[in-house]
Amino acid sequence: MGGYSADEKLRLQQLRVLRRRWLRDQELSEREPVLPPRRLGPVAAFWERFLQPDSLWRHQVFRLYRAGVFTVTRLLLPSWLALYYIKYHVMVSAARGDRILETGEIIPPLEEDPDDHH
Amino acid sequence: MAAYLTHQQKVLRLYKKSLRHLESWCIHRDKYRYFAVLLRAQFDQHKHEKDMVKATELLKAGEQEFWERQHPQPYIFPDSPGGTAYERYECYKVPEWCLDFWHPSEKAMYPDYFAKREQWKKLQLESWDKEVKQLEEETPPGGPKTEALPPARKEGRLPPLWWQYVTRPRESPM
Repeated sequence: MGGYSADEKLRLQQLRVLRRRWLRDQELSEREPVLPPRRLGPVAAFWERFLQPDSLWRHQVFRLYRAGVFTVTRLLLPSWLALYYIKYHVMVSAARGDRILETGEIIPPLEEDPDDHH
Repeated sequence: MAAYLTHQQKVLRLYKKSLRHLESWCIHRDKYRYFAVLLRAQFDQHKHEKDMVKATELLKAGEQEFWERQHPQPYIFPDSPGGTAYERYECYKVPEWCLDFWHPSEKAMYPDYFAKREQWKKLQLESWDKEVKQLEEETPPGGPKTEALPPARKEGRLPPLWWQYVTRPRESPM
C-alpha cells in the first residue's frame, strides 16, 4: 500500500526540524543592518537640517506664511470688495449721469429713443 | 519514491484527472457533484479486483474512455504546468552559496546573520563525513534498492544529504 514508511516519516520529521531552525536563523536581528555613519558635505548637511521640525528656519517660514495669509484674506480682499462697492454702486447712485472730469459738470443721461427697432 | 508508478497510483491519478476534467465540463456545482458520484461509482465497481491482468485492462479501458471524453480546454491552475504563473517565482530563487560571494564590507553590515551562517556551515562540515559513512554502511552490496534516503539513526546525527533540502530557497518571495 502507499504512504510513507516509518523511516521516511522519521527522516521528514528530522528535516522539518532543521528547516524550521534554518528559517528562524534567516531573520535579521534588531541592530541589523549595521550601516557605517554617513559623512555629509557642508551643502548636503545644510539641506539635511533645512526645514526639519522645530528648527528656526521652519518657524520663520511658517510665520511668513501666516502673515501672508492674514494680509491677503483679512486686509486685501475685504478692502477690494469695499472699494468696488463704494466706487461703482454708492457713488454712481449718488450722481447719475456722466461727469466731466475737468469741470466737474454733470451731464444727465440722454433720452433713450423709445423705438428700439430700426 | 520509486521510478515507476504502481497500479494504485495510476488508478488514483486517472480518477483525479477525470474529476478535474469533469469540473471543466460542469459549471454548476450540483450538476458536477451528480456526475462526480457517477464517476466514483464507476471506479468503485471494480475496487476489489484481484486479477492484475483484468485490472490493467480495466485501467486501459478507463484511460481510453478518459481520452475520448476529455475537455478540449480544461481549467489549469495558474501555478500548475501550462498555467499562466507556472514557474513565475523561479527566477527569484537564489541558492544560499551566493552569500559566500558577498564583499566583506557587505557582510560586516549583517554581523549576527553571518555569525549564525558560519555556525551552520561548520555543522555541515562536521556532519558530512558521518553522513557519507552512514550511507556507505546502509547501502546493500548490489546498490540501493530504493530512492528514499535513510533518516539519522543515532542521537546527535543529522539525516544524510540534509543540506540541500534544509537550505533551499523559499517557494515564493516574502
